[in-house]
Amino acid sequence: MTTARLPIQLYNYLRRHEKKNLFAGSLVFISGAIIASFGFVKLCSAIGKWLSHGAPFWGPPFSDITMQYSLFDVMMQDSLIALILILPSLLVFLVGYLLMESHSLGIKLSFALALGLISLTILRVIDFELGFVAGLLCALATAMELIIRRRTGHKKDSPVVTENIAKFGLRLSGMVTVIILVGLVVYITVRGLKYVSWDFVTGSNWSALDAAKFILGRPLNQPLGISQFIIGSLLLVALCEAIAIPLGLGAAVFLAEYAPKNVVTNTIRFFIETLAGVPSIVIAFVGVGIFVSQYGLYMKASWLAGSLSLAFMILPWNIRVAEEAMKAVPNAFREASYALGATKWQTIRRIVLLAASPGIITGIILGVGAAIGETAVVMWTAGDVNSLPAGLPLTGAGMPSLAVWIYYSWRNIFGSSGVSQWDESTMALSGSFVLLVIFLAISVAALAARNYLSKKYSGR
Amino acid sequence: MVSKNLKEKLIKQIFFLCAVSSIGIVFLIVFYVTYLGYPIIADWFLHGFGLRWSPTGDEFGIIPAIFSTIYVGIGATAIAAIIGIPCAIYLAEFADAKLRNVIKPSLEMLTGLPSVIMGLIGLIIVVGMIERATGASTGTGVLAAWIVLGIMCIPHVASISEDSIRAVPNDLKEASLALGATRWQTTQKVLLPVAEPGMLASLVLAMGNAIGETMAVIFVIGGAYPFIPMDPLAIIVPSNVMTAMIALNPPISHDVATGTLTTSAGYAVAFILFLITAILNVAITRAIKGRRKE
Repeated sequence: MTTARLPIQLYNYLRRHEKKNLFAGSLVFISGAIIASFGFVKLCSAIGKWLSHGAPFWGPPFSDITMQYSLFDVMMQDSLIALILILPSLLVFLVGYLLMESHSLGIKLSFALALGLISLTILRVIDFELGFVAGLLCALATAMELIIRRRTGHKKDSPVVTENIAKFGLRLSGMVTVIILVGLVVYITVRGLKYVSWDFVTGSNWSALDAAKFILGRPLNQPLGISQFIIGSLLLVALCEAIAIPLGLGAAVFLAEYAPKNVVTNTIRFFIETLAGVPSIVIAFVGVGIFVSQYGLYMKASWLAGSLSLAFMILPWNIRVAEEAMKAVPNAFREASYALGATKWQTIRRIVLLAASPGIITGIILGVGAAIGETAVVMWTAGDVNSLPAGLPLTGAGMPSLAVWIYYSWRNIFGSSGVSQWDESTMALSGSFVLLVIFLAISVAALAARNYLSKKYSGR
Repeated sequence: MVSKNLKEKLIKQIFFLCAVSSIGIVFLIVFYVTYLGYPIIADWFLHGFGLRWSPTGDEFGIIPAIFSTIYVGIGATAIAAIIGIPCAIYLAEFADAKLRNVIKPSLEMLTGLPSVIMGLIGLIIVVGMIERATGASTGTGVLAAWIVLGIMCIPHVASISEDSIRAVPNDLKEASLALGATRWQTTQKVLLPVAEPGMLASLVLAMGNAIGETMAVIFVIGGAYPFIPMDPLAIIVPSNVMTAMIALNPPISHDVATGTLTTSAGYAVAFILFLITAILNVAITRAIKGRRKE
């Protein structure tokens, strides 16, 4: 076979075969490979850097960034870039597959791809080599596909191809979600474990000066510790739930069991939904106005003020989960109870609430998890103090909390004491790790409660 | 018997009061926000909303902040939708039960992941990545906020959308499969149209969360005076959104609301934020009702 006959042979192949669009498809494949290789290089550089502590392939020299970021940070940053770069390249491969199977979606997508890549290149959002070459290849592929379609006529799309593509895309998005979530947890754990120790979690001495000494490795009179922040957070949430659980349960019972279908009920529902949507910073401002300031109850930043503001935030959540759980209780349970002569209140108390308890308790525990991590609401209403107030007064003295401490420990508490920004973030991430562990423990407790109670009360 | 009836009625009234309490709380919020923000709100309605925000110069123009807040919210919702909704479809229809039982609870857990942690990680990873990838002097800005808020909203969108897809009656699905449709055809033609109101609601909810989020944004947005994004691609420039803007100007010093114009401006911006979320709430309710009627 001479080289001169190759195009003719290929043409014959294209005419004979089912997969007419081998050419167009492979062009798009090539452009996908270009983008993918960029992402792959960055991923390899990230891994290589992690293994060898060498210089990065791109960006500023590594010595410039060590002040601010650790190796692990850089690796995570590179992985994020790789993720962002590999995803579009996978889309390109997808288009290549669609073109090869002469699926009608392929031509649309490859046209859009060409247009997008070239315009992004012109706008200087992406590299010239990357965008222009890949974009031109896509444009060429689109043109070829158009010509081939004109010649051979349209065919109905194969549902099998569509199914494959859909499955692939959906699985990919599921994977991305899992990767992001796992990455978050791994990152906090690896960075945050540096300062976490038994003394750190149980001690109760915290000041900016001592923290700077601790980071720089100088001797301390008392070991540095954050137990007061943990206890403060738990106390705030406990008082908040002591207010929000009875109120929320009562409202939920009314909505699920008593509420007639009329304007009043609809209005109540609407206001609960509105309250659920109020941003936490607005609740923080209002909490300051109502509880803390001299325009309201004038409690100063304190335990009660923080808890009441948190209760505003958590109340709609409690109502929603309790109502949903009660509505899920089968009507037969209620009817059986009424048939035995029980009153409505007896039925609710002894039957409905018990049967709904798995859902209610799980929901409330999940709400506790969300409330513990809340920063904006408590940062002014409970104050930003470094130790528990003596005698735990309800009003008048600030209550420390973990989330607020994380926020402020990042924001320049160390001043100019020779502590680098990286050390500061490590300290804040240690706190984040503790917060995350508490949060995950609460969430796991919620799941365990659901399993235990649903076995006990609803026989499921 | 009379006393028993009385008790029943009394209990009903107590529960009614509990339910009404949230109306009271909302009114309390509206009252305090307008009461303490009154000077600035009145100024806005009398002399226009203004284009410059500069508390030191006693200028409190809010329009740029509204624009940039909505810009950030829409972008974050788009990212959350692109990843979250396919993830929901996958979990509801294509994933096997074992995988689903692992992913779904962890998604639900992560909807409550403390936002201050997300902000911290966003500052180190996302902002750092943008700085190193683009060579910009600072990576803070709208792009970083999009990515961080988008990631924060994925669990919300995925979890709620998944619920609404699974709530579609099985009969519809089985009828479609019995007619010889593939899984994807069934999903596309039967499940998604029925589940659409729920998915739409999840997106509006995510947008409300993104707009109302403070702690995650405050780390990555840059804290500059907000500006109207004339060039929509200027997304790696320090900017600001309403929540972060007022969170940086605390309403109190020494536990006393100071009563200065800056404090009032904080409450006035909180008023606007409340309005936006309330409008979103109305929109969500209308959207669901309208679609259901169809």
